[in-house]
Amino acid sequence: MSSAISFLLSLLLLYKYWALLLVFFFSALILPLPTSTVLLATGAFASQGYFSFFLSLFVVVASNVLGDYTGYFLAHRYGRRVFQLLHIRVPVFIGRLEIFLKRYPGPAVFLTRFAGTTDVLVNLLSGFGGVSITAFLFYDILGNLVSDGGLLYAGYFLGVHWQDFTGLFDITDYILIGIVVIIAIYVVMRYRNRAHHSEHEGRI
Amino acid sequence: MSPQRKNWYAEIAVAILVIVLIILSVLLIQQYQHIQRLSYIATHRQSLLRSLHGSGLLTAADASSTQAWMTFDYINRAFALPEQYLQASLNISDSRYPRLTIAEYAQDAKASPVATLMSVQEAISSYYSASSTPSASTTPNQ
Repeated sequence: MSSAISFLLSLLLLYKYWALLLVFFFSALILPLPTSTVLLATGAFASQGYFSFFLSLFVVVASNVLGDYTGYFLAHRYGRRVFQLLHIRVPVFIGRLEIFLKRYPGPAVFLTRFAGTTDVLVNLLSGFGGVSITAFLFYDILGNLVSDGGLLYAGYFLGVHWQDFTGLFDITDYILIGIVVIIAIYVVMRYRNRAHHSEHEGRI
Repeated sequence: MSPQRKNWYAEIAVAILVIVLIILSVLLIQQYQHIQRLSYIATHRQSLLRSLHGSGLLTAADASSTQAWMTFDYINRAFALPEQYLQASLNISDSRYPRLTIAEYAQDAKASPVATLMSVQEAISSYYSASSTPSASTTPNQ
């Protein structure tokens, strides 16, 4: 186990729900922290009576949603202003991902809650592209409840053996991130081809 | 850059990602097979079933799962040890006990973390072996 993960787990045992709150808030906002390991460990500690399962689930989901909403809010309020201040044109691929997110906010927000750090980018793009706050929060809460609850319960079920399964969960996480990146490239390509096609038809 | 060239780059990126995903899938299958080879579920069936019902208190058999990042407070609770037992067994005088990790204690005591961890594991095992003998005066859940 790496020293960074050992440090996080020590913090978790020392500060319990406060540590959970900080880890999940900052990981949802921007920091790439090993949250699946923390969730498995918390579930295992809950099975031994050191944590309350439902209180842990509540703290994890609430801090995740709070972090996600902070990212969404910052991108919504200041995203375009930052681009203007830096005199940078909004990249075309961001525009294409925005169109996709506006059209399919549910699948995009819900599914990226399962794929590691990709949720941070989707939060920013949702705020930047003006996805409605109601749809964003609904799918965010639902996605976090299912993904965090699933991992927490896996740790609860595995109990003392949770450490033997971290590799399995880490690899699954990388695979999910890869799938999300491929979908994002596909979306950008599809919308670009469509734009070229309509431009070509307009010329004819 | 021409659209055809951009398409080509995107296709290359997707191809690389697909290769990475295939490698990761092979690793995932290997991990799964490794767990199956150990007949993990069969070996730990009782322990897993215990966790399923949420009564995962640890026993002497689980002493080896103790790690240096764990706090004494957690170990006491998880193994149902009396709060002063480990403090007395290891002669811990640090005022932060039990809200202290094994690694922190080893560092402050200028001892090897591995040796300290082994001492903790031995203390847990001897607590349970002492409590299982008829002449023992304490029981694990006291």
